[in-house]
Amino acid sequence: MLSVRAQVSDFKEVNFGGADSVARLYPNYPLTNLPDLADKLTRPFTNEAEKFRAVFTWVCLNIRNDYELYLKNKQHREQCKTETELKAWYKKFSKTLYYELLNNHKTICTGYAYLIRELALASGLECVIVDGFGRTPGAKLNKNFPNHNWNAVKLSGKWYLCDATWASGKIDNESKQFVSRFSDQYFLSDPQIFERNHFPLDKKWHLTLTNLTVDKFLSPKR
Amino acid sequence: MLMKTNSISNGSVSGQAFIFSGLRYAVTIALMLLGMVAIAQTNSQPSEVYEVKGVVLSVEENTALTGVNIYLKDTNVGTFSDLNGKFTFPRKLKVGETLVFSFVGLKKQEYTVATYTPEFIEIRMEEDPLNVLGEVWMDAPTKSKQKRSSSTH
Repeated sequence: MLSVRAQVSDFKEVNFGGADSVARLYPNYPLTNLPDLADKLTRPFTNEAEKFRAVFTWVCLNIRNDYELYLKNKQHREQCKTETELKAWYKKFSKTLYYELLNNHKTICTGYAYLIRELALASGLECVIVDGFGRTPGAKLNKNFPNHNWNAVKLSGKWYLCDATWASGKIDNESKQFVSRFSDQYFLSDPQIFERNHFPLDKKWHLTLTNLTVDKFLSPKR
Repeated sequence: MLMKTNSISNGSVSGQAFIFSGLRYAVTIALMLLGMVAIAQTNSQPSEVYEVKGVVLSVEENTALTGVNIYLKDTNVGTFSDLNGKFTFPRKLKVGETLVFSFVGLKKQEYTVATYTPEFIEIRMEEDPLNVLGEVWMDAPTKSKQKRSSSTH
């Protein structure tokens, strides 16, 4: 599992232009048949990194981050006093999330991570959702509230990290609208760079030897 | 078994015995044929294919689920459940073939065709709740207001 510096440069001989082009062939493709979408995106490729790249790029280009969903979830989460209440909220809000994803192609990080996982699995790749803390410029991090999900994926026998939510674009601070801006810096990132702003609840998903603790990560002195 | 009868005459005794064994033979063949027909009618031959029909329901709400993908594992052959949750798989299936049921937000289900597949199957699917965490990437608010070139003033 531990592969220090497993990152995109492992695939430096691979030109991802082809995978990106295939991703662009299916703008706004419906999510009503995920195995079908996964097949269209990945069938042209034998290399697992290219398959995953096609999936990743498609998700980043076609799914929008929604500020209102984020806000609604944040407000409710913070009101939950017990684990039971939180789980009940998650169960209820998951339905909203799935509905918005399916019908409007919009979501928050959890939805991005879910879709990446499902499309990867449908393409025959091992993939998981990682829960943890994400440090964004505006975020006020609270140890009791993990605030981000991303993915780990196994390609050619090694695990890699990626964050489709942040790779897809950002929310404009003033308008609160999503600005689509694909950036591949969060595709198969160097774990040692990734951990500067991602801290997983399950430490095995650091994918690197690290002394970092959650307190060190959350401390503003860092 | 040759039946020993009181001999009427040599010819007639052996003639009767022959006819009797012939009858037995004919009856045995007839019974075998009937048996084979009976076996064919119960559909237990290994090469038999089945038309699989059914309905997809929600575990939590016990209602029909529309639009569920139903596909033959490792193939592109599939269909969707209709407004009443019902489906008929478009291809007849063999014992051992597996159908996969999938839909955004529900845990995937599989159904493998068995020798005694019921005529109408019921598939129940569970919701798949996520830990909804949800940070957005937003640049930090700037202290100095820098007007963009495309100002709307």
